[in-house]
Amino acid sequence: MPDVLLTARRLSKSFPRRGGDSVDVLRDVSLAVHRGELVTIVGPSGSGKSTLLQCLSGLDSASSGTVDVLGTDLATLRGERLARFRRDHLGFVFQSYNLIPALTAADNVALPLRLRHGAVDRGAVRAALDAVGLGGVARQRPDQLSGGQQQRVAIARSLATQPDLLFADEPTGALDTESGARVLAMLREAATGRRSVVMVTHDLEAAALGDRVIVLRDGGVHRELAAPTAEQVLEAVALAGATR
Amino acid sequence: MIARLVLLDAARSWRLWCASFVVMVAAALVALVCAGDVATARSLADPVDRAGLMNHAMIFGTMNAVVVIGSLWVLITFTVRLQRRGYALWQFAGVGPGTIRRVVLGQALVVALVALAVALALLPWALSAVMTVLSAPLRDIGAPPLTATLGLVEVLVAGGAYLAVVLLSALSGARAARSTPALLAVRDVEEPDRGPGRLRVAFAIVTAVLFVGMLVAMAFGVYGITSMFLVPAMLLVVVTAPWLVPIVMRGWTRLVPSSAPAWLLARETAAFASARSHAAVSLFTVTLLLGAFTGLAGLWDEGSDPAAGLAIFGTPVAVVLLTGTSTVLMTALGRRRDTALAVVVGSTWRTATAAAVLEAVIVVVTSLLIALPLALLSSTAALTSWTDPLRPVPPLAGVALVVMLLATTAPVGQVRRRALGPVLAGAGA
Repeated sequence: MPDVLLTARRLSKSFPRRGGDSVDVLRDVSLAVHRGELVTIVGPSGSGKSTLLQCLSGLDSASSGTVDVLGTDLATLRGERLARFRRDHLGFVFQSYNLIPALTAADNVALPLRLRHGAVDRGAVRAALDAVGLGGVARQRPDQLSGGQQQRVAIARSLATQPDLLFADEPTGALDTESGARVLAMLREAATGRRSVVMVTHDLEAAALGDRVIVLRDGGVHRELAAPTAEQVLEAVALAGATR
Repeated sequence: MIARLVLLDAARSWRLWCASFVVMVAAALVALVCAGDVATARSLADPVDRAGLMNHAMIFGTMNAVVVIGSLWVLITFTVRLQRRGYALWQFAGVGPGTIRRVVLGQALVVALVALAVALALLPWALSAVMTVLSAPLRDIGAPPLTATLGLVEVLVAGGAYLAVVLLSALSGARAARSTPALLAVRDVEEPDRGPGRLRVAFAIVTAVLFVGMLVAMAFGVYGITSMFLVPAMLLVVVTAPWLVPIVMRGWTRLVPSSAPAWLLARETAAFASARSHAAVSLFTVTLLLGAFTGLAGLWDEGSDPAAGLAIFGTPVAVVLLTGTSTVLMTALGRRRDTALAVVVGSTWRTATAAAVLEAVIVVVTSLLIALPLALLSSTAALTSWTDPLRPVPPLAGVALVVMLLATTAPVGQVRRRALGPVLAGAGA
């Protein structure tokens, strides 16, 4: 089992602008994610955090550079193969939860299992919801849940298929302090053994939970910190912002 | 300031108003053609010609008025619904509920005036076509077709009636816009559709009483009802759709013993997005019932004149089909997001496409399940063979299915060609 789960090499992404020129959102980003790691990505607004996460997870394609996940170059996967790869190896948690509004909490958790295995072990669904403290709301739909509850359902859903890599984009951005702390604890706990978590956040205390913190500036890696304190992250981000 | 908001917002959301615009053009043409019928009839000396034109004006006007009012009501309400988040944001900018209502009515009026101008440009062609079609059964072989006469007064009366119909149809949507909760602007989660408004409840009670009255009359042997039975039946379907469609849809889809992810997604999405489902189902049901009407009227019998049938039923069938299609197409944004959500949690593109196909099937089968009993009842009311109203149903159901398939599968293809990240973030949707 390889120790490195994800390798990004010289990743760049640009968007066309009116008038024919383009804006570079990512510039030559290279990074690696090892098994069992929680890697957090921070940086000032517009530094390319979410775009980087989308490129790393195959939700968007890079303009140049490569992303290898479990030895597979994501650029070589298209359509059905990319969808299957995502289903079998990756999990996602978003700021806006992105639960399927038509389905109950239990069905939201069961769906990826059903898609992967065809059948669903109701006990596994129940256990996944119990693990995030939401066994009692299994039959409720997203609009009947609070933001914190929805995010915990989203985490239960993303962990139900035992993904190798979990991507979280501002998972606490829309939550109150208490709910946010619960969600962060779950993500921290998820990053163990064979699974890693890559989290984008603007919350510097949340970022400091990471085994490694990558600070972005103007689409490039400004600094990389190993197990830093919140103060060290703050200092690095302030520097990144001040020197823009 | 309000005028500026009316025009700028209508221009920004012109795609959403497109369907209403096309139906308004049809509505204005119907009103003007009816006015042309009446004005021309008045100028004729021959009582047969005069009666023929007046008869056409009455049947054509009645059939279309019902359909156009219903279609505009559905479309404008739907247009407003799709812009609720914008109305919620307006409230944070200090725009009051009363102003929002006036803006929506103002936008409906602006679109209606543009549609009226287009209809006036098309009027000479439409009147000439109607007169040619109607002349054939009325006049001797070889006689020249009737020449339409239409004065300014008739145009003003027809235009005024048309604008009144548009504003009446827009009232419900304007009220819905006014009562948009400001909280919608900051809530990310999609909420289920709220229950029907008081106006719809009142209409539902009236049409239900009318419909039950007709059933009772039939049971007691009052057969003078004939094919007009279908008019209150269509009204009943449109007005009670928020209650009727979920019951029928949930009822039969639950009986299907499948736990396939595509079926689960299609079934739950169709049931959850009840506004978009019941709008499409009720309109396709009305399309099928209009088809049944043509069957009862003998338009599919051997030796019947299809042009005469088209002159009466062509416009309402086209308007209802267009409205049904539009309501489905207008939900493309939500469908793209649904697809992206399903794919990001592990659905393959094949499963997402299958779910879209199944959603189309669910809508059409639900329409058939509502339309068929009413069509069969109509044959009893009209004392015709039970097969008469059913003959046009298969081709119309086929058209509805094709339309639905295009509308539900197109967003899947669009998402597949884009990056999922921006679609989920709303930028690419």
